[in-house]
Amino acid sequence: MLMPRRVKYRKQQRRRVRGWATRGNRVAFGDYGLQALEPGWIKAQSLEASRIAVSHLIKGQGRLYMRVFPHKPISARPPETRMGKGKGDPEYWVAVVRPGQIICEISGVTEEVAREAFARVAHKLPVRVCFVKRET
Amino acid sequence: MAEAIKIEVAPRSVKGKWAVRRLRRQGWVPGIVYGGDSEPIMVQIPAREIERVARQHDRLVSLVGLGEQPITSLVRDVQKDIFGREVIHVDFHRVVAGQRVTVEVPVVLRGVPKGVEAGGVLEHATHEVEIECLATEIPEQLRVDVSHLDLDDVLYASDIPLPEGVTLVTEPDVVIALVTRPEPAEEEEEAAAEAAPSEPEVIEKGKKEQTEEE
Repeated sequence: MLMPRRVKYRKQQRRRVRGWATRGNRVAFGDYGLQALEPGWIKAQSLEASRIAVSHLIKGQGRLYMRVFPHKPISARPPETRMGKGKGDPEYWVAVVRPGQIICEISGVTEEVAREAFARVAHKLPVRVCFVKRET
Repeated sequence: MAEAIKIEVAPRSVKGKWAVRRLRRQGWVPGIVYGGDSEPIMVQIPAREIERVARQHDRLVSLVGLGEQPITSLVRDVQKDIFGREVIHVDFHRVVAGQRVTVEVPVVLRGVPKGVEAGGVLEHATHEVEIECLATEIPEQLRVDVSHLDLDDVLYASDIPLPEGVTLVTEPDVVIALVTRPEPAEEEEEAAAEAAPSEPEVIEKGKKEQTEEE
């Protein structure tokens, strides 16, 4: 599962996802992209599931570029634990996504294949997304 | 080299965030014309024309409606909203005949590389290159034949055939395209994932080490 190799601190505060993606909001590497339309957290598991769904469809043809990385640790308390005794241990990792962020890109495939691939990805993501094309 | 298209614009008197927002609601897009010896002119473009303008990025256009003579200019910058859908501002750069300009031109790959037939994947790493040429002779696109590329072969910016009078501004060693081997099978990746630790390493604070040494 995707996660950072080294971190400065094991745990983070949750924080609100505010504003829009002012960077990473244009298709940069591939020909087609999937753009987030609302803010949210995407789990590393969802990103991995998305990657697998696309690689099964394109079967080695074309290339997928993941534009987000799960940098944020989310902690959780074990079940049936009383309150107190400090913050829970990191449970999973998420990528913080703002509206406009390109989540993944694809190249080397036709538009129909890209649409089908991203439709499968969209089902696995917790945010609304739309299909976008390279500008030039 | 295509003919400069005519764009209808009108002089603009309002400026500032709120005023231009009102302008956009009324069906105009703000813009500015600068460069050359004259003063900058604030302009507004009808929203119905804006799609045409956006497609002319780094191309020559003829601005009509700012006096008796049309102004020849380059569409220097097209600002879009966060989602990249709506044009919010356009910069026009005045040019004169015979002036050399630096513009970005798309690179179009032609042909099927040998490496792709052998099972590789063609990656188009750089889609645009910067060139310097006469303002009146900006090529629409630069076509490159990639059919000779084999597996692991790389096409550099210096390999692009340029028309006469055009010089490359982009660094010559910039990778334009390459033919890579297909991505590894799932099993190998799964094995690598299993070997990875379950939690990342926490970077120790530098101060702690210093105090220990003392």
